[in-house]
Amino acid sequence: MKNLDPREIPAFPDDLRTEGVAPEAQDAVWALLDEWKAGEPTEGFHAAVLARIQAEESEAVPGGWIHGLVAWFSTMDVVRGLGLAGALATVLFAVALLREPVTMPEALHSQTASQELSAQQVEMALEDLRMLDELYSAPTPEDNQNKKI
Amino acid sequence: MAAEADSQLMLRVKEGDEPSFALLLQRFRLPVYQFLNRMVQSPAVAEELAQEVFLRVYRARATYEPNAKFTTWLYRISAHLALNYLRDSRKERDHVRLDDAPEIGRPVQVASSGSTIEETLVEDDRVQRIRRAVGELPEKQRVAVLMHKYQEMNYRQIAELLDTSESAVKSLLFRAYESLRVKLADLATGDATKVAG
Repeated sequence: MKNLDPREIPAFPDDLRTEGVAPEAQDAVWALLDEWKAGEPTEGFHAAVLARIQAEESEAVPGGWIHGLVAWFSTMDVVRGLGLAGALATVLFAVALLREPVTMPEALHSQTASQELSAQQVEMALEDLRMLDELYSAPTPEDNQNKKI
Repeated sequence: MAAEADSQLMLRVKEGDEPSFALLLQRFRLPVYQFLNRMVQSPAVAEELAQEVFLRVYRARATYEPNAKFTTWLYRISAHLALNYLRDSRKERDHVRLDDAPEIGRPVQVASSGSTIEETLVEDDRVQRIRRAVGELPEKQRVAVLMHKYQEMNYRQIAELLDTSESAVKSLLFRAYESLRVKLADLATGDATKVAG
């Protein structure tokens, strides 16, 4: 790879020249661009970068949240630690209960049962009615005797 | 040789050697700042973005692999940040709808930056014309010109930085310099006349 030294490229690069354009015009624009100075960063630039890095690193908890939690526990006395552990166990137990599979409420069960029962009862009642209807419509022995007379 | 040294320094940073990072910071803060200042055309924003560049270099130290030249990697981060900033500020500007017509062609205007106003007041009209002409170039052409003219990068380095081919870079530069020649023709002619007189 060729390292470009500004002293080696005083003029506009030949391979970028436009055909039909005077080389002097392109050289003049090339030189004109040198007038644009871009200034310098402020005095505190270096310190500002290092401060941002330090701030970012101090924000990060070493070892992640579990490390932080363990460190926090280790600073507590035993009694308070046990109390807190008990509270944590209660919370975990409550969470475990909540995570049980959801079952159908009993009231809903009985309601469905009663619905099934009443349907059966209706069916039976209808059967009774049909039987009664047949009984009334069927000719009695008296009817037969009257017919004979 | 210097490129190797930069990569070596970065590898030492990777191993946790903070003085090596300070050395890289010292070595590249000026070129990175100047590139960003020419890109965004605001000293305050350039300073902020340059800090962000070095912060990102530091953050990426653990995964650094000297596959490409260190400077290419560094300027790729810089160009990425500058282009993102320009796109965001363009969107913002579209919402705000500034009425200041002469400023429309400029890629970035930071109203809160007092130093920009001061600089603009004392700045030579010629330099303002050059800034505006470069600022009006399409993004890739602008990056290519700044890298070629001011950061002294060759076609291959610029191609790596822009994820394109060397011939595409040459084409970008060809169009960019031609556009600048047309826009700055009167200034350049004045120079030629001065020299002739």
